[in-house]
Amino acid sequence: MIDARHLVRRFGTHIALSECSFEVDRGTIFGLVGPNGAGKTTTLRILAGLLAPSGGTAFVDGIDVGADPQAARERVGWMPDFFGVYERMTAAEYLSFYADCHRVPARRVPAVVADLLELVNLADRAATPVDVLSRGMKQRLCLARSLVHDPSVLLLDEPASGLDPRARVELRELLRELRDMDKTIVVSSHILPELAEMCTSFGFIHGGRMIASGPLEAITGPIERSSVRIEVGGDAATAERLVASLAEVHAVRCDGQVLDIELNGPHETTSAVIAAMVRSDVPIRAVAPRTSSLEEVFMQMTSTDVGEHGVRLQR
Amino acid sequence: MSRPKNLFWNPIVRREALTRMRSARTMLLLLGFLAILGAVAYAAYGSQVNANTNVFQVSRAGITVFVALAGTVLALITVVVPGLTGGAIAGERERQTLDLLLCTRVHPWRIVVGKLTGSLLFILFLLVAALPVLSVVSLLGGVQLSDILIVIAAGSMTALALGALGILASCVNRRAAGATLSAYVATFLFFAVPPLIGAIGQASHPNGVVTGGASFGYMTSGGGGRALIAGGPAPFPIPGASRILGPSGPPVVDMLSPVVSISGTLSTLQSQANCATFSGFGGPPICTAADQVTDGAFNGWHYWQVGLLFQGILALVCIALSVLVLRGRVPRTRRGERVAG
Repeated sequence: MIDARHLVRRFGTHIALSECSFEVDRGTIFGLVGPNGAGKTTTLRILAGLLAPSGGTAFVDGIDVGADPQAARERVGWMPDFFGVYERMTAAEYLSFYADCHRVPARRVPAVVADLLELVNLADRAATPVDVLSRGMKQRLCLARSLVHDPSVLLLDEPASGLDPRARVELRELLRELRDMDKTIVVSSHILPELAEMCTSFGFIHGGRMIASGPLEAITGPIERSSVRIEVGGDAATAERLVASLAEVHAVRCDGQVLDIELNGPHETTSAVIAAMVRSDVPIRAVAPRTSSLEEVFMQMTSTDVGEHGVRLQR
Repeated sequence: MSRPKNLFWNPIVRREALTRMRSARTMLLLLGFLAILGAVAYAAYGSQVNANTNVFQVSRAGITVFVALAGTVLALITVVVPGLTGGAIAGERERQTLDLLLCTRVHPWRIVVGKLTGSLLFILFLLVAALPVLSVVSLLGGVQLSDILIVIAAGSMTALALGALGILASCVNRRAAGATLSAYVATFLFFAVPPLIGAIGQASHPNGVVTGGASFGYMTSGGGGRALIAGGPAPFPIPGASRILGPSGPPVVDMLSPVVSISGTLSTLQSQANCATFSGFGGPPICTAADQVTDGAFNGWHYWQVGLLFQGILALVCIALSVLVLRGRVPRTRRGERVAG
């Protein structure tokens, strides 16, 4: 559905995007993860046909965005990280205006507006002026605006920014509902727990480069270090010293009777650690692999030097 | 969508009309506009009736009131239009809705034309609202339908030119406040520079004869001021100006200013008032105004006609430049690469 190949974008001498490549399949929620200034918004603006790439190509629903940005814009629902609302318009009028701008046939506009307000749970606010809606309601209204022309791709830039927990949950549910409607959704954010709960695949962008992209499991697989959590009986401090002395262990942290162990290799390395503990008569109560959280993966990804073209992982 | 319907399709106009009429500022503007017009009509009529005891002179009150009202309307348009259009597109940018609009199927030219039309429709609304005040003139008599049409044409074209200038200022400025300020500065320059160049050209001409256009006199004393400087000495000779502007002064450049179109129109009407003593009784004007270009490409044209032409050209240039600026904000589909949607 989305295929970005070696995207480059320069602003004067500043390189905002450098050889950024990734793919997003139809019907997935793709989380574009990166710190501020990483190039997330630039990537989304290029995909939305609002910014011409300095190099590379991007295809959205089979359309070359660089060659035919108008056609790309018609297939994309763009929701920037600001509301962009007009004063003195009701929610229904606001959506009608954008439906008209997208040339939705006039006879269909009332039904489209009603359906969208229903979808974003604002049906009872149809006659409310847009500028008095709460932040969460405005966000949902803007999401409805990006859907007025029934796009196949949704590009959402920091949609959860500034929302309270309830509004975030509502937004998350809404995005899942849209995914079930076969929409392809790209969400950029630096609020990682939020993305972890809603996205099915991720792209880690740092310094304008796509470091890795794909499902989280595919990304965390090739990571050099894995983690394991072992609960021990007896003297945990002795066990900690023992484990820390092993060549397979990179770092260990003791929390009560629980040892959080970072290994110098994949999860299979755990067996060597357990064997050493058994040989030393350290009672082991439980062993559990620690799956890397999105935050940990992100920190690990962005703390290492990025290669010339970054790392691209296929799903 | 059928072709004519497609041409006039513009959601921006409808939104502008809808939201503008809900603003309290609009109502205040309307109130102020009508109050000023009413006060001017009252003052003009009062001064004419009190100053003249002759029945024929009193009969000219209709024309005097009309000239005063027309001048006020045109002056108010000049003040209001840059304020309306100056922030039109910069305001969209400031609200961050411009990119959202550019993401839709509304072409940049429709955004420019829609914003301009929205503002001009409001001016039309003000004029329609002022009709009851203006209709007082019909009670007094002495004003021809053609006079009213000339004033409407001058006012419309001035509004169009200033509106287009404001839209251009709005396109090149990032902030609405800066854009509005730029629009007013541009309006001032638009008014002041051409007559100033005219004055310089005239100063450089030894005989100081006004050969083309209302020139500086229009700006200083309205249409009637032309006679004050015609044939008079050069006010401030500037060496070398004649080489730039030509030996006989600039016959055209000062007509760029709306001052010419506005004061030229009023001058024409005032001349009729001075000449057509009996026109107050509904008769045709006995003599016509002599405010006509006497040489050059526009020989025989009324100054206000030339002014309108130049204002129209200016408006088109400003609209074209505004569209180009907006088009540059987003990538466009290259010719021949449009994919059928």
